[in-house]
Amino acid sequence: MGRILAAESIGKRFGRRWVLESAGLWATPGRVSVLLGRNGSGKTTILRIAIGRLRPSYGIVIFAGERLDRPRLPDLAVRGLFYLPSDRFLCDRYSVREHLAALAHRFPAAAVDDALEMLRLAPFLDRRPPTLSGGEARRAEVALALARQPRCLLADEPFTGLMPTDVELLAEAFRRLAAAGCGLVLTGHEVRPLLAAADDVYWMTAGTTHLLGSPADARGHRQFQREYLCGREHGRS
Amino acid sequence: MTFPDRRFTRAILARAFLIWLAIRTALVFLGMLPRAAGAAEALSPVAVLWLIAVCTVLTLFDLRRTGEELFLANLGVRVRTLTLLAVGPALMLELLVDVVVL
Repeated sequence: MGRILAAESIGKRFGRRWVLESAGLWATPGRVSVLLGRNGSGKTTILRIAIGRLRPSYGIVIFAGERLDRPRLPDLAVRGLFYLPSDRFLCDRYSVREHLAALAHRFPAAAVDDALEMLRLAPFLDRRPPTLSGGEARRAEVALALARQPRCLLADEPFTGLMPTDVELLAEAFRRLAAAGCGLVLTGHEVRPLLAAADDVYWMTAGTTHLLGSPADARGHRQFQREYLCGREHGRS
Repeated sequence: MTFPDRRFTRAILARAFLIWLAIRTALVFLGMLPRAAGAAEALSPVAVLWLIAVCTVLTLFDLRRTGEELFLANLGVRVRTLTLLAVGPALMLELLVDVVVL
């Protein structure tokens, strides 16, 4: 199956420093791609380039087969992309219910009830983000993505700072989206849950992206083990 | 053009109004405008345009600061739509001031 999103040969320079050189980002329908890499390796940068929040120094972005010289998130969103940033996504002045209502207003086909049930959000519906814990807020954010039923989801560090039960809940939500045909890209440092959710693993290092293959292939990749996992084997049950 | 739902739209318009009000009030207290009638005459058309521009920029900045711009972008709402919502109250109120005072 063809890719829903591809950012190819991306280069990005901040001042004199090249953060990305010939890096790539790919989302394939029905598959979960995981992008791993050290802090500052450029994971967030390439996600932001893919949605048009940053302009690359060079490279191209292709969404649903169309090359976009100047991608813009609102246009991509209408065509089925959803982006979850690593920092807060919900707006402090609106309750979870109001966020979901705004989504349903814009996309009447949104599966709000299913998302609420799946992520167990009913008790928090009328609360505003400042009164939610980090895990509750992240569940609400993923519920918005789940309700949207996107063709492509880019989630930057979705598991960061969450307790294991929340991680499992979100991983299940991501698997459900993939089963529905969505192409997902997840980033982060939580190797165990990320590899458990992944179909394809990419490693971002030295400004570029390497496809390591399946989670099993990634665990067996010596350089990846040595430089990123510090010689430990993660994610084995 | 895609507008956000009513809650978000109302909140953005209200914020743009409050920013306009704050700037107008600040101008009065800074002595740049006479406090009595005829206040609108104290601002030239160019100054009024600047004031509207500043209100718009501040409103858009606040939408970005609070994350509303990103959330709404995920719903397909473009920055130019938000700009329209941000510029609307200041423009209307300046016209109103012009009509009422002159």
